[in-house]
Amino acid sequence: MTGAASVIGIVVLLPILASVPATAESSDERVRALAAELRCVVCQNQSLLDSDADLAKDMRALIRERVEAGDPDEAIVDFLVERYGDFILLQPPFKPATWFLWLGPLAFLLLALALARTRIRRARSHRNDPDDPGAS
Amino acid sequence: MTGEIGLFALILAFGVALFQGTVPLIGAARGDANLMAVSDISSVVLCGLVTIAIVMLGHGYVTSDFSLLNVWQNSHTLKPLIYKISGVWGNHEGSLVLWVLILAIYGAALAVFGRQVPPALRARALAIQGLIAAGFLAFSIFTSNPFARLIPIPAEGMGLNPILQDPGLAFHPPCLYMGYVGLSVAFSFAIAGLLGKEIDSTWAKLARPWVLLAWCFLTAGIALGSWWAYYELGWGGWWFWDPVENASFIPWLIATALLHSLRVAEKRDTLKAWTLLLCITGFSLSLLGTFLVRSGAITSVHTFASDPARGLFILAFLAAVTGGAFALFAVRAPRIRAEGLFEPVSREGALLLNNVFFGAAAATVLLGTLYPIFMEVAGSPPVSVGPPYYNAVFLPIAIPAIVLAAMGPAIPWKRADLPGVLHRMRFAAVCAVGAAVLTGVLQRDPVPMALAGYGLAAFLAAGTVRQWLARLRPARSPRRLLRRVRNLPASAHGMTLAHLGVAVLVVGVTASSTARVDVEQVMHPGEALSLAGHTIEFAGVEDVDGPNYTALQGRFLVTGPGGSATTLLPERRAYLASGTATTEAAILETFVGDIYVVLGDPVADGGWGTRLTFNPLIWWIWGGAFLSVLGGAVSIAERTRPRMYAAGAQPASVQPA
Amino acid sequence: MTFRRIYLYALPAIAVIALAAVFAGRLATLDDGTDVPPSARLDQPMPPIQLDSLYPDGPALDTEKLRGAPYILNVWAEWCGPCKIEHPQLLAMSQQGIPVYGVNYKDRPELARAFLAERGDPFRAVGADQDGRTGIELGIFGVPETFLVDREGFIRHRHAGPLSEDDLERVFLPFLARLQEPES
Repeated sequence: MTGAASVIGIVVLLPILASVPATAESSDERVRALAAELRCVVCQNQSLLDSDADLAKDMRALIRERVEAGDPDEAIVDFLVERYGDFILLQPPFKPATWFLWLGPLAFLLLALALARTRIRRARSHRNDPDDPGAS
Repeated sequence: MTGEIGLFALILAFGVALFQGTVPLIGAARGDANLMAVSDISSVVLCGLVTIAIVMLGHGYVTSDFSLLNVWQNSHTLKPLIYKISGVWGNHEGSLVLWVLILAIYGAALAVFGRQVPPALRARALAIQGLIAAGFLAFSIFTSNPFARLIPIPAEGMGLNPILQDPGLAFHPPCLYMGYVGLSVAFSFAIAGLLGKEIDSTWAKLARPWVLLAWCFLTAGIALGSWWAYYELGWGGWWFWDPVENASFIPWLIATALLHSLRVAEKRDTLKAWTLLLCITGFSLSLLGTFLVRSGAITSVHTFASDPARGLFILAFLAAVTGGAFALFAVRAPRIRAEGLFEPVSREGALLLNNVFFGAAAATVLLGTLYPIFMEVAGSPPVSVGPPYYNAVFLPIAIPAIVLAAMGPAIPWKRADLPGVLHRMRFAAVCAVGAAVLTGVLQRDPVPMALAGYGLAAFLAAGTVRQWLARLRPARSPRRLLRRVRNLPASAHGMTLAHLGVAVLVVGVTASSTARVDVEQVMHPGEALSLAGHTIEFAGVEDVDGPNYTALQGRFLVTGPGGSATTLLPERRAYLASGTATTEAAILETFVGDIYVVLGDPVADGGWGTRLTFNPLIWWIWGGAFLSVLGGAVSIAERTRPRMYAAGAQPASVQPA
Repeated sequence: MTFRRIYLYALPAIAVIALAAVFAGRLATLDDGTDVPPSARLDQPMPPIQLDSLYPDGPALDTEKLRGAPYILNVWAEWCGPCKIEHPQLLAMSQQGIPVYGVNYKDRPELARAFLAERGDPFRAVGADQDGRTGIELGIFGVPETFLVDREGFIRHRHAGPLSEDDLERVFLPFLARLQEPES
C-alpha cells in the first residue's frame, strides 16, 4: 500500500505547497510586490505596477522612498488607505462589508458538496428501496 | 443605398425571427409536422438576411462610406484594409450585428446538420433560437441601429481606438462570440427538452457536440484575448481578472462543468436536472456578460461606450430570458426522474465532484466581479476586487480540480475500488515527485509554488497519458495498436488531449509566475545588460512613420546564449486620427521563454526608461489552451449513432470515456 | 418530493430576480456621471499641509493656521482644461468674501502665475505642490478637486471635477452657510 500512501501524499501535499506565499527580499522586490497589490486609482483596472498614469508613477515613487526609508509594508499600505480608502487595495480587507466576498467561495464550495452528497445518498436509498421513488 | 438594404434586411430578419419563435412551438405542441418543419426553413432564411445586413455594413467600412454614422465614428480612410473589416465589430452596433449573425449561423447549422435530432425537439430548439434572435434584432434596430445616416457627409472618419488596431482583435471577438452564442444552442436544447419533457441520455448525446463546439470557440476566444492582452497592453501579464475577462471566463467554467455533467447524463442517464441547470446558466451568464460590457455597469478597458438606455433594454431582455427559463426549470425539473445508481467512488462520482469545483469556481468569480456593484448599490464605500483576491480564492478551488482531472479517468464507471484507483495513479505520483525534486535541484532556491505547480502538471500529464495507454495496452503489434487507437471513441483521444493541454498550461502558468525576471531601469544608447542568458544592448531611439501613426522606435540588439542575434523594436505610437498613444512591446520568443521589451519615457540626460522582462515558458499557456481546443475538436468528431441509443442500450464493446 | 426540494429548484429563478433588481439599481446610479469614488478624507480632519507660495513673495499655505472659520481648498493646475471652466466660480466665491485657498498641482510656476494673472486670482494663499505629494495627501484622483472644510478643520465635502454654477448655487453656498452658522 505504499503506492496508495504516496498518491494520497501527493494529493494532499501539492495544494498545501501551492498555498505557501513567496517572500520578497530586496527593496526592488518589495516595491514591486506592494505596487502589484495596490490599485491605480485613476485607471479602470490596473495595478500601480502596471500603470503608466502619472498618479501611479508618483505613488510608486512614494512607495520606493518609504521602502528605502525602512518603513514596514503595513505602514505604507495604511498610509495610502488613509488617503484613498479600501478602494486602493486590490485585495479587499476582511471586514463586515466584505464578509460575504471572502466567505462566499467557501460557502459555495460547501453548498455544492452538500448538494452532491444528497444526490449520492438519494441514489443509494433508491437502490436499497427501489419501490419508493420519493425517498430523499 | 447599401445602408438602407442592410437596415431593411435587419427588419425583415426581425419578422422572420418572430415567426420562427412562435409557429414551430405551436406545431410542436399540436404534433403538426408541417408547422414544425418551418423552423428549418426560417432558420436558413434568417441566417441569409443577417448575412446581407453585415455584408452591407462591411461594404460601408471597406469603401469608407462616412454617410453611415457608425462608419464615421469608427473608421478612417488611412486604416489598413484588415482593420476596416475588423472595425465592423470593433464597436457596439456592429458587434451586435455580428452577435446576431453568429446566433443565426448556429440556428441554420442546427437546422441543416441536426437531422438526427427528433423533429419536435429540433423545432422547439430552433424556436427558442428564433426568440433570442428576435430579442437581439429588436435591440439592434431600436437602440443601436448600425445603419444610421449622417448629414452632411464628413470627409474623414474619426478612426478606431488604436489599441484595437491589431491582428488579435480581428479574430478575438468573432471567436469569443462563437463561444458565447454557441452556448445558446445548449440553452435552446434545455428549454426544448423541458417543454417536451424529453430529457434522457439521447438528449444528452445530441446536445453534446454543440456544447463542445461552443466550448472550443470560447476557449480559443479567451486564449486569443489573453494573448492579445499580453503583447498589446504592454504589461507583460496574460490574465488580469478584469471584469470583462471574467465575463467570458464564468461562462467558460460553466461550459466546462456542463461538458462533464453531459457525460454522466449520457452514459448513466442521471444528473439530468443539474445538467439542464448548467445549460440554462451557461447562456444566461453569456447574456450577463453582454449586459455588463454594454451597459456601463462595470468599467474596464474593454467596455464599449456606455448608454443606460441600452443597459435597461438588455437588462429587461436578460431578466425575461433567464427568468423565464429558470421558472420553467423550477416547474418541470422536479419531475425529471433520477435514474441509475450513484456511488461516491465512481467515474460519475468524480465527474460530479468536477461539477462541484467548477460550479463553485464560477460562483466565486461571479461574486468577485459583481461585488463592487453590490457595494455601490448598497451605498458602501467602494472596494476593488483585484488579482490578489482571485488568486487567494480561486487557486484553492482550481488546484484540487486539477488533481481530480488526473485521477478521474482512472476511475471506472458505476463502482470503483479506491485502492485500485490509487494503484493506477502510482506512476503519476512518481512523476509528480520526480518533477518536484527536479525543480528543487535545478532551481537553487525554488518557491514552494513552483514545486507544487510542476508536480501538479506532471501528475496530470502522467495520469492522463497512463490512462490512455492503459486502454491500448493489450495490443501486441503496431498494426493492432493502430487499430485500437482507431477503435477508441474519439472522445477518449479528445479528453486525453484536453487534459494534457491543462497540464501544459499549468507549466506555463507556474513558470511565468514564479520565475519571471523584470528589469526596470534607465538605459542610455550603447548600454547593455544581461537577462536570462541574453545580452541586450540598447542602440537608441528613432522616429518612424506607420500608415496612420507616428512612432518613437527603440532599437535593442539581443544576443542569445548561442550567439544568435535579433533586433527588437518596441514602439511608442501616436495615432494621427485620435491623438491617442499606445505602447507596443517587442517580444523575442524563444523555446525557454519570451524576452519582452517595452520602451518608456525619455529621461533628461538622454537616457530612456526601459522595462525588460524575461517570461519563462509563457507560450506554454497558449500552447496548452490550443491542445485543449484540439481535444475538444477531436471529441466533436465522435459519431452520433442515435439509433443505437434510442433503445437505451449501451453497446458493451464501447468503452466509456 | 418534499416541499424543500421544490424550493431548491426555484432557487435559480429567485436569484435571477434578485440580481436583476441589483442591476436596475446600478443602472439608476450610472446617470450621476462622475466615476470618482467618494473621498476617504471625507469627515476626517484636513491633513496638515505646509506649502510654499506659488509666488516668490506670496503667503505660504498652512492648513494648521486656517482653523476657526470654514474655508474652501481647491486643487488645480494650469495644464488642466476643466480648471479653466470652474475658475469663474472660484472667483465668484472669493468676491463674496468666502476664504478660498489653492493648491497648484504639479505645475510650472511661471505658467500657473500667468494663468492667475490673466483670469484673476481667487486665492487668499496658493501653495505650489511641485511633486504632487500634497495631492496624494489629500487623496485626490485628478484635478480639479475642491474641498469644503469646517471651522474645526474637518473636511465636510469633496467635489471632483469642475465646479459648475449649479454646483455653486445648489451645493457649495448652502453648505457653507450652514457651516458658518454660529454653534448652537
